[in-house]
Amino acid sequence: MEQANQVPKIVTSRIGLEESWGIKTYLATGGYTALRKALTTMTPEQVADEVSKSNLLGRGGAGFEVGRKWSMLKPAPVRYLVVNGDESEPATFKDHMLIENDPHQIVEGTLISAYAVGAARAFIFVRGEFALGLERLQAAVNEAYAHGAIGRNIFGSGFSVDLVVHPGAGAYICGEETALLESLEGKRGFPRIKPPYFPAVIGLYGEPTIVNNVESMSNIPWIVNNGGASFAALGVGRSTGTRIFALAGHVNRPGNYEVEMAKLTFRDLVERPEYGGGMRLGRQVKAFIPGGVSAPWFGPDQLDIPLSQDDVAKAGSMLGSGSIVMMDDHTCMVRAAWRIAKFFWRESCGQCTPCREGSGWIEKMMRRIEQGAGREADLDLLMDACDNISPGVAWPPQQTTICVLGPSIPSSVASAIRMFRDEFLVHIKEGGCPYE
Amino acid sequence: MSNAETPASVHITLDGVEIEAKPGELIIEAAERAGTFIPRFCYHPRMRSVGVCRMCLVEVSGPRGFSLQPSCYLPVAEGMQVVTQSDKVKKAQDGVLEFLLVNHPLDCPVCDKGGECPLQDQTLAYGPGESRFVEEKRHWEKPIEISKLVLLDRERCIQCDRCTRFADEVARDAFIDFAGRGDHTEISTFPDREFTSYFSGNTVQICPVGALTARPYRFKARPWDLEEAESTCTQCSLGCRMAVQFSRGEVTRFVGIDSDVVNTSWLCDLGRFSYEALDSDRRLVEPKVRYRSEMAEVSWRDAIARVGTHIRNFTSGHGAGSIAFLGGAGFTNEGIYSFVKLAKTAIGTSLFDADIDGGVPASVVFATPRATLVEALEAKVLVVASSDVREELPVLFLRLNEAVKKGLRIIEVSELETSISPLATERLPFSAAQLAASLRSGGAEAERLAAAVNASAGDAGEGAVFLVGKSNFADPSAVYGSLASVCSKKWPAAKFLFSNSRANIFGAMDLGAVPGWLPGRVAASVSDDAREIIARAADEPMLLFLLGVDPLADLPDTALVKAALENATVVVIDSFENPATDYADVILPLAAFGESAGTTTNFEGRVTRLGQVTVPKGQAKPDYLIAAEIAREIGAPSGLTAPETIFAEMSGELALYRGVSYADLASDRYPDGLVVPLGRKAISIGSGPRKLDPIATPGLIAPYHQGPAKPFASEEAGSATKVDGGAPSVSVPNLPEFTVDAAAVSAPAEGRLRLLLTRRMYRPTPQLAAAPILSQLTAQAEVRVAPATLEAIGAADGSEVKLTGDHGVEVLVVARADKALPEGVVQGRLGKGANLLQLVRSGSWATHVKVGSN
Repeated sequence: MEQANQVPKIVTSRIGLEESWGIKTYLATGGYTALRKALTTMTPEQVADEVSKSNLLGRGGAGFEVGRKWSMLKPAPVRYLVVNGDESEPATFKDHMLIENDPHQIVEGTLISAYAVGAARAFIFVRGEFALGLERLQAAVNEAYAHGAIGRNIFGSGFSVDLVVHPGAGAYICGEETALLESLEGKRGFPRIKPPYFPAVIGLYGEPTIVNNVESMSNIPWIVNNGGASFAALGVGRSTGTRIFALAGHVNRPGNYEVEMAKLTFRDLVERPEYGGGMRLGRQVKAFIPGGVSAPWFGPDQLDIPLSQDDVAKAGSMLGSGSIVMMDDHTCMVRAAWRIAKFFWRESCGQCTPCREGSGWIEKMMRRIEQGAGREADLDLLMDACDNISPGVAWPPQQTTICVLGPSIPSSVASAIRMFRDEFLVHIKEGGCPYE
Repeated sequence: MSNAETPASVHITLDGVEIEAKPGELIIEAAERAGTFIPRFCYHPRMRSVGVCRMCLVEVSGPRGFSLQPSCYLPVAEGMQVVTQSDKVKKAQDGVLEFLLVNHPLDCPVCDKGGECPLQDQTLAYGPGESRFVEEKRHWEKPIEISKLVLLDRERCIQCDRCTRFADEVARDAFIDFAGRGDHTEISTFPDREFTSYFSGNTVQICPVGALTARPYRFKARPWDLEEAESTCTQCSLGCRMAVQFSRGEVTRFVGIDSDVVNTSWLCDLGRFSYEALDSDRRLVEPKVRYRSEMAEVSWRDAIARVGTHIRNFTSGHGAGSIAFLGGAGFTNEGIYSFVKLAKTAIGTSLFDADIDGGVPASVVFATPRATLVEALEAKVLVVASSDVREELPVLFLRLNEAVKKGLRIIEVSELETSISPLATERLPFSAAQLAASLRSGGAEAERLAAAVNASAGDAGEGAVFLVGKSNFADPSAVYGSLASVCSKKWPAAKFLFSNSRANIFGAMDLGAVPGWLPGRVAASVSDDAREIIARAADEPMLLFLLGVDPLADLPDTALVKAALENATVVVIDSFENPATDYADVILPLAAFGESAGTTTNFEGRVTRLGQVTVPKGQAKPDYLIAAEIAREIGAPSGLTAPETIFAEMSGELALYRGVSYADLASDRYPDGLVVPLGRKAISIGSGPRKLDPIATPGLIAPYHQGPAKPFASEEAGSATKVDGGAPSVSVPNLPEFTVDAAAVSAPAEGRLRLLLTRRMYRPTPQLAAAPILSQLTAQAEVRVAPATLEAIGAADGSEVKLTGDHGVEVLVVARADKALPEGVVQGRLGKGANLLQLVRSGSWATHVKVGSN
């Protein structure tokens, strides 16, 4: 199928153009036409309606419909729009690319969304480590102000909005939307306890707030220009449009690939020459993580699952942040799971007990097993510690913690133990890692 | 407390049994009242719920079936089903406890908290039998000093957020916060900044582990060796309810009691750690009399005989009017009553003044309708025209902070910014004299106050409460009497509280230990006050009884006071050495706090029992016994030698105390005492013994701590009953008139600035000087001056300047530049070192000083 030619590049169309981050390139490639169209020919309700029609699923990880989220916004005189660019999930690098290479698209999407939800002030919270991205995004905002796309009475429409770029301070947890809001308010990045369940009711500074992902925002200009129906025509079922998959791990061509949702399978993405180009050194797939390190692992028998949110969920994991990590048959599963456990231990915010203490304990046990001092009883103990953070260790997960970082800890560890128990036993019996 | 919109109660199913709960109540609270204790660490009923420890997880029904939810965070809802006993809940609790113990050192045998530790208790009651954790625990340096009083062991900390929430939300002293993240999260102070909160001891009381310990108590005792008695703190007139814990005859610790109507479990550090002084070398423990020029230890018999001789000689030589009693506001009601009887009946002198600070006079206190603390907190508007509340009645500041969050509107009248200013809707920058004059004659100041009050409480001030007290200790008391008096005239429906802050000053007023009054708020002819007595004593032969006061530290015009003490024959009745003891002819050692029984009266008129937990140190005796012995010596035996009998006589003879019995005050019916006179308003009745610690685990600690589950009905606010016999009739005097020379206040001489004298919580009192750690916290005296003034005399911030008073007295004191000062004034803060009171001339309406270079 010559599908690649028919499927438009919705969010990555400018990647690779010269100075793709500057306003000159942006305007030359249709930039800010969607904003002008929305502000001068559409009501906010019409914009929101197009987004609802597109059935755009949030691209941050939870995959909640953007239109539905907007519709939950509590009416209030002050509302905020916050764009989450705190992309910190290991092996996820799609927002990073968008922020560095097409910041105007994010700005335009944000401005249109602010118009649709009635926010007079919008914030883009960007991971602090994205130094170049922050520089380019701020430059884009400055250019947009100068262009009259941000500020008072934009394009003579009467709509005014201010846009603030805010650098994060280096904590993974601030990608959790309520921790992000706390951080934005100048407080410690602790996730807020639920209820209230949605920032759309009580968000930034206690006001109704929409929090959307950078990639979600990047889709908005196209949806406004082409209509929600054109977007919904792409993809299968609830998984509409295109999506960037950050393909990582032991493939020949790791990278970001924008593909139509649900049309391809994981195997397509890994093996097709225009995407992953097959496994490195022709090796076999041993396991892969389908949606960021918070997601439970899949084995080679699940490679034919389509890249659709619902299909992946049905199989017991998630597309999550859109990062796919391939692991070949030369990979130590204990070490891989330990590495991820260590990440969560380092990034646990420390607010609630099961995550704060459980993440460290699990990391210590995993390290001990990998380094050859494991006991067979540790496997049950690990599973039980996982169970005490996420009762049942099932998908979708339950949790004893305040936020979803908690149940993210067991995902890898429990997957590794369930799928590769023998490999753990080899570590324990041989007193070390057989892959060393 | 229900209104039309909210139902009176909601129904939830708790472990299969339907129970009634209050709308908006948390699941953990509803369950506890129904007799089901849900384990918890971070939950504290006096603070915002955060739901972080996860110990209180229970299964709660929701749209998608049952899920584990924090019961300390989720409010009840009609039809909600809660399961606290399932395997799932049990596993979650086991899991959380095991996680908590992962990094918690098992050093219980050497931990101060061992034996009263919620973590220890709940591990035993709810946790798994043993830990499966075999890894290395996290390590920190043990313990670090975060203030002079509080030490932090970060290894033991379970990050429950109680201390940090307290510091931030309750005390408004956010000097501690979390640092780091994950299992390396630690409580931390800010760089170069100690945890210098006035209320830091509360964090130790609410810490659910041994992470925070107080230096005065560390390693002093084990909780299971402690006995305790309910008592009332006597460091100020708020009268915080507290438990005095003691072991082998020694006071080891004070713990705040969760009294709804007074202190909601909080204490200030001054009150909490004041016991430090009880065992000090500076205690007066032997009766002494002067032989030639030396003080010599003698028997009580000899000392009392000397006092008797003095009384007889002065009476016969100069008349009973040559004998005066100063102080007594730190005594028990029984002691005051005994001394007043001794003075006014047996000796026949009317010279008695317990209000050594010269606060709002009794004539105004008695003539105005008094509010209770709860009425003040729930007032439509509270006018604070008083000293800095955090410095004078510290825990009242916490209560006001809490009330403001619930919607209390505060109007502050103060020339200076105070701790209350951030809580107030508006600050009217007037002096008391200025405002009183304006209210009397009509003026802009009066109009502004009227606008602010009437907006909430109408022209009559219905529902308004005024807190009036001395904002400037250089002022005579008439200024404040005048202000309260004119306010009461203008707003006849308003109620009043007064911030005279000596522990039992209101008991002293009620019992006639002030000029112009007899016991029971009965008016007598006007007589000299403390300042006038001192002035007389400087010239005439007088016999002065100093009842727990040091006139040198508390009265203005130090030169005059010195002359009076040198000239007079002085009998000191005190617990601690102080400068005035140098002038004594007789020293009678007084039992200190915890060494004597009796009652005390707080600023609302609330009478509570003091717990006696130990015998007096050395030869010291309780106040009422000393009075009884002197009375017997001069041939007027009172026969009143026990607090019970003295109180019985008080309630028999004085309408003010009618219906109140000494035994009742210690009963479970009146855990917070009674406000006298009875029947004036509803009396809140408690529901039995209270628990001291809201997270104490039932069944694992002494029954005293837990208390029964509270019945739903009796918790309705202020559930009121009247005491048998109806309202006693205590006559209310007419509002007195004062003449205040406002012009003298506002018109300083050329080149002079008006002096405002303020005090701080840690002020140099004899007791504080005897407390090893608290004495280190006592602030130095300083004067705050506008930067321009400092510059004009070439002085720098922090350098010494010379203040010259109206009568030529010169004082050297450290100056601080203060940009916020209003024009024409300097603020003197009393403290260690320079004595600023000597700049004040007794009887003058205002004190002006010249600031010069040293």
